[in-house]
Amino acid sequence: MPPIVSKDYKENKKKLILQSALECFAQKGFVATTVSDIGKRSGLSKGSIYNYFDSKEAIYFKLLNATTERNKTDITSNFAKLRSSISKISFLFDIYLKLAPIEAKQTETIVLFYEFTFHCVRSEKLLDFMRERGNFLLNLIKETIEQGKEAGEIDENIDANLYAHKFWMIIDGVSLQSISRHFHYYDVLREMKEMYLEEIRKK
Amino acid sequence: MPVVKEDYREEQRLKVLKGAFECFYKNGYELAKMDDIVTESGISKGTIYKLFKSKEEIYIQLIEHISNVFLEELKQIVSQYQTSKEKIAALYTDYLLHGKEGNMKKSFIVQSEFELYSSRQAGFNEYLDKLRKTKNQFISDLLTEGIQSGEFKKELDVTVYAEIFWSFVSGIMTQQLLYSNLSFEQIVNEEKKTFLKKICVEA
Repeated sequence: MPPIVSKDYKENKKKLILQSALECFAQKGFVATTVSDIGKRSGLSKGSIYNYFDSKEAIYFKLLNATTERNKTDITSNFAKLRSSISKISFLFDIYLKLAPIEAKQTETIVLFYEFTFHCVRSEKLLDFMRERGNFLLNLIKETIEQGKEAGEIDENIDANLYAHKFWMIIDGVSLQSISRHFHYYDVLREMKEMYLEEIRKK
Repeated sequence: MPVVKEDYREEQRLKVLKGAFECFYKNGYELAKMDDIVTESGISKGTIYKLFKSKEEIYIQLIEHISNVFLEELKQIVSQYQTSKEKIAALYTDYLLHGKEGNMKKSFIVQSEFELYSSRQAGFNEYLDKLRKTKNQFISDLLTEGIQSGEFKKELDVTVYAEIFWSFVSGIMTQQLLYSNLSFEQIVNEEKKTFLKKICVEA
């Protein structure tokens, strides 16, 4: 009879792999990191890592999904407290205005995320994963805009889908620019937020 | 004759850069092999190493080259217009909408990946700063001219607005990579209107 491996044991191993992978990615970059590197850092063999994850892409997706899930819960509970569509969208911008991309840790996260995004551009399959991940928030903004139109807060000519993407365009733009230490992250994002809200608000 | 020799050397250098550009675009810098650059450029490995110390040096020179060519293109575009307002508008229409399309996507990926890479490399900050500074300066100079000619608002923060412009470019290019069916043209045209409305003195 094979030894019984407890669920806890497996979970702990998984956690260890995820943590070690994150450290490797942050230090060397996603593309340059190999599964062997992750093995070395976690003290596991390459083979045993493959018992838990198919690829380093799968490892990063797992890390990413954990953050996304946390954000979803946070956003959903805050949205429940907010009345108007404009204040909901404003809240989404404020999440990013509260970040501190100047801090090394945050820059690291941003750099890793976009390194991975550009890596995905080279594979349709990975791109699909990325798009799927973004769907929750895209749909949330779309719905919020539609509700705002019905409530007479938001201009009825606004294309909800387009403006959902425009929101992400702003976030992607300022995040990518923020890896330079001279970038005026808050001033730029605050101004772009105002421009966005001005555009959608019912005149 | 030494002059011919210099020309020949430069011609070879550019061929290597062009080959490297294709390789870095296809597989990313980290995964691109010197052998790939040899194949793509048709220049022998021995010659490449006479011209460049390392793959990294090719990377640095390539980015400098792309950035110079790009800036020349922008200067060329705006030089065809008289007023500052027309010049800014031309950045959206003549460059973003009618620029060399395929090349723009490739350059964006290669340049962005360089920026991400350089944020992790010790001693690379100066390259990142220089790249950003040249681009920002170009826009902020145009904005300053417009203020002096009375077309743009006196109180306009030219640094922040230059950064808004580049944030928009990074943002739209990234969203476009993820969602190729987005209406690029509509977004660019709307952004042009919003941006101009913000910076121009009201008529």
